Amino acid sequence: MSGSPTPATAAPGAAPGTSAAGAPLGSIYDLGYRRYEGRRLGRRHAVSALVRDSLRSCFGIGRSGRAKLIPFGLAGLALLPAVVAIGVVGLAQQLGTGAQAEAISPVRYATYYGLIAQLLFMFAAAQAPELLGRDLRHRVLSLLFSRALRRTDYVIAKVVAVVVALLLVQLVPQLVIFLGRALSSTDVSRAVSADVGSLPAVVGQAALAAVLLASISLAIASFSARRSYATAGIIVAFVLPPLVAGVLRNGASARDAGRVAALVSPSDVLDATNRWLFGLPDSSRIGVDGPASAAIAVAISAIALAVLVVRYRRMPT
Amino acid sequence: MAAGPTSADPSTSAPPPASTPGGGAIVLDRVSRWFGNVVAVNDVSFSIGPGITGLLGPNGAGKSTILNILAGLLRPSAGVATVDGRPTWRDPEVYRRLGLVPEREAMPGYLNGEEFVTYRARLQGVRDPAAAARRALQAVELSGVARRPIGTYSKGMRQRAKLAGALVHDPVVLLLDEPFNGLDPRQRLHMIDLLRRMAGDGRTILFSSHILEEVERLAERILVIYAGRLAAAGDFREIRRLMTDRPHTFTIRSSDDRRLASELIADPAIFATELTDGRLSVRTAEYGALTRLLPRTARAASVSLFEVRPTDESLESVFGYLVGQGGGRR
Amino acid sequence: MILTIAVATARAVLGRRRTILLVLLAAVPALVALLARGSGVSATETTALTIDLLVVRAVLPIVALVLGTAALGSELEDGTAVYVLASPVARWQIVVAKLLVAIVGTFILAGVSTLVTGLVLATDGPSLGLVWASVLGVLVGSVVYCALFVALSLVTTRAFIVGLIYVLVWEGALASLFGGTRFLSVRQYVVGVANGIGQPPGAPFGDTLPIESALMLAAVVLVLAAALAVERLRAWEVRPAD
Repeated sequence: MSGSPTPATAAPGAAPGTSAAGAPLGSIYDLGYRRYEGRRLGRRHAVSALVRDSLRSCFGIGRSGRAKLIPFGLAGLALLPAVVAIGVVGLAQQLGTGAQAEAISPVRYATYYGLIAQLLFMFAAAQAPELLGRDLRHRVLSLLFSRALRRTDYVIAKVVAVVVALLLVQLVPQLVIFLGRALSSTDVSRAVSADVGSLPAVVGQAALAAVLLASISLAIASFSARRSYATAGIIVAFVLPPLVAGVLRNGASARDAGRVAALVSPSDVLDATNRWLFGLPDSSRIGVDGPASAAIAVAISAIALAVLVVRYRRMPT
Repeated sequence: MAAGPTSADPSTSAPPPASTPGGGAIVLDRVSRWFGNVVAVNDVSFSIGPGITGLLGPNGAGKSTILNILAGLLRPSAGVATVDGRPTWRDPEVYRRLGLVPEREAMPGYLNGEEFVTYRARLQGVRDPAAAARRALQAVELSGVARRPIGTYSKGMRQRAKLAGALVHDPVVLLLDEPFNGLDPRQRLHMIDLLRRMAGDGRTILFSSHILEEVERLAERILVIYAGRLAAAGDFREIRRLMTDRPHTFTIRSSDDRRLASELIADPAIFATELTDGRLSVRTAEYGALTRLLPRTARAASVSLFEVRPTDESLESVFGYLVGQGGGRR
Repeated sequence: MILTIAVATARAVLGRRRTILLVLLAAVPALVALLARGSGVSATETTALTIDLLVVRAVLPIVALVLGTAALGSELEDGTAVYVLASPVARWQIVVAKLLVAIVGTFILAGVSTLVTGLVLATDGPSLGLVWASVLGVLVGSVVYCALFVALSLVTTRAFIVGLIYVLVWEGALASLFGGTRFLSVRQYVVGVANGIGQPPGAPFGDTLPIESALMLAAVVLVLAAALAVERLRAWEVRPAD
């Protein structure tokens, strides 16, 4: 309870029970319910608090150890290739074969997405339901929306949280690679300036992947209060289209249909954007390359986000 | 091992089960149950026969745990729970003589009342499931709404449907976990009536509750559970009498309360009198002493007695004492 | 008795939304087959590929997972299992009833999916034979997957997630890395049976277990899973609500 207790005694003076000086001899304090009279922080604060809380949920922070297992496990596995590669190169340098080791290392900025793509899917599939499922299951949305938080704010906050989480999972390993390369080279400043050129590509790919995966997984997760069903649905959405595309691609007449299937397949789209951003040779599985692939990624994200917003706008609470 | 105000062993202070041909003897023999570090039931022993027994205790005291152990749905960590001599754990046959009304609300909402009770009748292997179901529904007075889906039932109707399902195979033992939960007063009276009728047929009924009025009204015997231990067992008035270190309070209405009070206080057996609201409250440590003293004193003082009533012989005061003092001696 | 319980379980598990979603999922391979028709490559290869990728790897395990974990698991979770358990029905009969519902449901969905997909794509004798072989493989898969997942739902409350990880990681990623896991992968039993029946030319499903091993291992897993389920049901305890 905030506020100071209000003595229920009468005013000083001729009141009974007061001493000659007018101070009360005894008081009964009113310890009942009090309204909060302090400052209210408003909408922006509510949104940022929700973002922070959701981000923590993404990694299971603030909950039991078991909740941290999957997110940190997956993030750790995503970090592993970078750490191993740096270690191997460092070791090779000791042995004097540093340059060759570096040349043949499969772990690079450009290839990193390909290495951890499956892990990113699993991360999104596991954690997106965590963010939305609880509120749906225990029907607290009416509580949340009765405050300064708007429905759209809620959606945006959740999306931002998952995007940031996925960015962390992708960029931390890249950072590790960068530091490894910079620190292990003989001319640090030259190494740094050489790598800085890759920065836009690295960040761009990470951002596209984060936004696409976050929006799709959250959109699907908003349809089920049962987290395991939502996870299954998200995994089906990630895994099924490539399989379908694989089947269709096999035949001559269906190649175009195969391309269409690949277009809605997040993994194929992100592979294409990765190739475009890093200027890799094109093995055009989806038949579009270059900026068009990024446009498709953005379009799919926009559709998923729209679905999400509409769903929460329409949700009866 | 008693945790009550006397050092009597709770299992001997409970009346022994009458040996009826129908059976229905429930025995808990030094049953304990712990969940990790938390001891939910601590070395509880009692035996119950036909009639209605109330299992009384605050929330979290272990009542549901005891009922679940008796129902074969929880394994006792120590000790044995038996119905008619057969341990209830891992023995599906025991359910032929046992009917359980669980506390949890969950019922298959897509069935209607009749289907639900008929289903349970079939599971029990009753000879004519449909007829048995109808009888059971009639006994709980749900026949009218039996065709409606359970999802549309009120809480009271759901409780009654659960009861019908538990009665459909005519069990000799009925276990009810918080049967009065969420019932309105009229439904409560109805349930009490029902249970009395069941007990009248010679069944053994054990129900748990933390609502004192119901237990007081319905139970012939009570078992008081506190913090996993059996704090007292038997008729609650008897238990009250056994709590010797606590004074009894009587309320008296007479022609001259003040005169009576001043005469009574002179006797060392009385240690407090109080005049309130036109009534005289008298507190004495010796129950028997007052019964001898009062008429003598009133006659000597020429005071007429209109009403003499023990004030604190309610289950509430008994319970409050047992539970307030940590269920044991002070 | 088994039938009574099975009917009640079927009503509970096959709710409208769940059934519709599963039917849609099962329809995907058939739709894809319509698109992939008449491709230049041999019918046998296309059929095998489609069925393998879409049905065996996706539709079959997911449907089995949903129905298998829901058959017993949903009752255990929402507390209505008490009504069946607090009755003198033998525990093995309960398990059999639940398995029946899960297996029949899974086989109907996955089997029909296989059949339709196969019939759309198969244009010649050998490939038609492949379709029937696949349906039998899917039958074996339905039985074993459901047994596995029903047992799982008695072992852990998170049976669905664990089952999902099994399908994706164990049967998916790890299987391609370590050949030894073949013996413990239901998917391998399925393709082993499909490959072995009727001896189609070549091995359309790739290098799989011989059919005898696949059937034997499948039977072993089935018996072990069912026995585990019965034993766990006998010792099942209600979860304390506090």
